[in-house]
Amino acid sequence: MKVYITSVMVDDQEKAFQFYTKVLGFQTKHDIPMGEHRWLTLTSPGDEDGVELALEPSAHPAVAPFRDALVKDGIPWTSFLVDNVDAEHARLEKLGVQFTQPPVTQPGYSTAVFDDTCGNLIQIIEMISETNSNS
Amino acid sequence: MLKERGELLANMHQTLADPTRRTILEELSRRGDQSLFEIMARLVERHQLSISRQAISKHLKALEDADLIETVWSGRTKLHTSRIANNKDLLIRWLEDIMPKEDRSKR
Repeated sequence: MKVYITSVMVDDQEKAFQFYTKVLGFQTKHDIPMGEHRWLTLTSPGDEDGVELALEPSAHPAVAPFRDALVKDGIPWTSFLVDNVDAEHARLEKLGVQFTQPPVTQPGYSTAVFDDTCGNLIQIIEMISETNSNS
Repeated sequence: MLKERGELLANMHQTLADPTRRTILEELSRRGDQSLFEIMARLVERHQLSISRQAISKHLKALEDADLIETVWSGRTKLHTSRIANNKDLLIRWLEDIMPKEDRSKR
């Protein structure tokens, strides 16, 4: 068994598609009409055979209270790996992305948390190995 | 006025008797506007304090009730900031009140 997909629940699939591809930089894998919604999955740039990210409609009434409670406490829905949190934070802020937590560095890693405009908080994380952690 | 001051001080002291709350204030002195998630993460990472969300939520409520922190909403996320600086005069005045006379001038 192997993980091939993970998902975020989004308020509006088209808006999420624009944000996750144009702003975050993910690439389209599948975009299949499914009645009212779409089967919409993305992959990381340069890794089209890698794990897919499904943008799933958050239409089920149970999603809102659960997700709102996470957002209230600042808890990210999921976490994406980046090479440099500071650079990514600067790039996204310039594009108007709102951060609920600016970059914070701890031994071994840096993180920041932003609003994906589709109902979720997303964490970005940079792993810092012992050898290049001279900061 | 005097009574109100006394009550504020009593509340602060009672609230600060808990070491976790003092640690939370220490973390908020490094940076304001932290979510519950971030405070939880800092307590684990920097203080090896693994505390449930519910318990932290209670501590934050107590700190807010004692006017030691304040909260603002950033979108739909609640952020917490220290109010120690706002209460500096009150705390310093109290210290002066209990300072032995001969030491008062040595500030």
